[in-house]
Amino acid sequence: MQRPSGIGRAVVYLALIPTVLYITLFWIIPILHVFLVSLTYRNSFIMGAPRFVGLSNYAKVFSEYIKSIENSIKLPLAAATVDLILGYPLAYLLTRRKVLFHNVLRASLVFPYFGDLYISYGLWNMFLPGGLFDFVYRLLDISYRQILYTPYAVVAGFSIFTLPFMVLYISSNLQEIDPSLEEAALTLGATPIRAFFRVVLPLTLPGAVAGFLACFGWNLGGYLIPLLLGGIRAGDVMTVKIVHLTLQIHDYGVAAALSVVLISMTILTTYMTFKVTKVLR
Amino acid sequence: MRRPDMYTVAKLLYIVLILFIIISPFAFIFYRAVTFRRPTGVEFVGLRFFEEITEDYWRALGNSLLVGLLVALLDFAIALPPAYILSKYDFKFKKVLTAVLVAPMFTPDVVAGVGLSTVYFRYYHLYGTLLGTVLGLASTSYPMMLLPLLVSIRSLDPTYEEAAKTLGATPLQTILRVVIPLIGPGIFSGFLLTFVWSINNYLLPLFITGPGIDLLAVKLYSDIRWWGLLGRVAAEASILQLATFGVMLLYLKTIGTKYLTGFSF
Repeated sequence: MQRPSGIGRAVVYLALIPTVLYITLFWIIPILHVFLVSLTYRNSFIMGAPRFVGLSNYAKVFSEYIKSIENSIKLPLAAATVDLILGYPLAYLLTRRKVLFHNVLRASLVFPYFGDLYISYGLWNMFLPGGLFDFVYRLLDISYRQILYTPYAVVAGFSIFTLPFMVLYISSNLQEIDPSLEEAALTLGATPIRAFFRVVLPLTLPGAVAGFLACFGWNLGGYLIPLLLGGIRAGDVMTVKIVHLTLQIHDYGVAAALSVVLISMTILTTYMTFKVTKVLR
Repeated sequence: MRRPDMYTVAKLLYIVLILFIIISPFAFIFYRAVTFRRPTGVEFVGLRFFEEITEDYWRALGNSLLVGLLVALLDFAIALPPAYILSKYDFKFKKVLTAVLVAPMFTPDVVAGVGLSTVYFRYYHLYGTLLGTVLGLASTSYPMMLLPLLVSIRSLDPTYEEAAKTLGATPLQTILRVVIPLIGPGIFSGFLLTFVWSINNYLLPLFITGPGIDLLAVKLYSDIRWWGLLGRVAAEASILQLATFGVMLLYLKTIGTKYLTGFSF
């Protein structure tokens, strides 16, 4: 690392200008505008002159939409927990051991990365009558509605969607830990279980925390999964409400106020992820 | 090893479970695309549903590929200078700059959509245009270009650049002739990720693209919402899904999972 000096410094700062300009125009200004829009009445901001109504939109959000905020926190938290339980052993096996279907497993991990559309549609089809779970419904003698359109279905969708993040974060943490530490513990007489809990787990804690936060953060923005799998009641999360408020009711004021709540939560999560990882160091 | 049998069996069961969980939603869409459900049972219909796909689907596919390509190119242009500078130099506000540059990736598309659509309507007049769509999609996807570039430039041996400089190359020549060829895998990785990301994004275009330009993911989204039970929709989803898998398999074959998070611990 070097500090730029003299003419080099000017070049360094000049080269950053286009990017910074772009980010300002297409990310910082729009996000700041969300704050501004959240203070205006319905769609007065985009149609005609903005009519400022103070914090009344926020009052509405915290009275009428409190249920959505609650769901938006609960469902991703549950999904992140499921991911941690399912993903930790997988990350460990993929980095430290050679398992059956090693490459298939590694490749399949990347699919959910882009597949919010496919996961929700595929799971929805599987849960519907005539889908893959028909025999389960018959076996337990329940209606498909006791699975589909409940929080369980949403959590299932969320956790499949973000499982790769968890595995990737934990395994990139594991890769940086010298395997000889574990071997040393085993040579010195620790049982495998003890070696894992006293050596490996504490060292991979940053990865697990970052993975947990990342899963939570990504699912906060999830839209189609709660919409399709959760239906009206269980899928009542902030993103669904925002899309409904903007594209159908044209109440941009309340939608923007909800967006401000959502983005605050995302920024907090992201900030904590950055703190845990070395991306800022 | 003690009790190898139980351990092996548990491991195998666990792996089969994970594979089932991940693959089944995707596989089931393919299954739906080639079968038809009658009260009497399931009938295999071959590619009949694929033949029902209309002309505008293919037009939308063309639009999507164009948008994906433009977004990836724009992302590269935006991400290369900061990636190079952030990994080579140290300066004031570097942490803040990094945070601001990476943060858009974590912005929910819905929030970006509300923000972009309001500024597009009121000031930029980009609503419903191809340019607006590309510029908007790039704003949330370029960190996926930036992070692989950062990783690959950081792991670059500085002696190559010093050699180029000693031999009389200008800084620009050094970047174009030495750095860029050496970080090829990072660039390729960023290209594939941002491309796949943008052709599969339906939420942001829903806000900023409007009804004028048909994009495949948006069309698929509305088809799933309103005609989700039709075999034709499953066939449509299968095609985009296959394209995505193709690109991702290419990605894994050539690059592996090295650049997928970009974080280090």
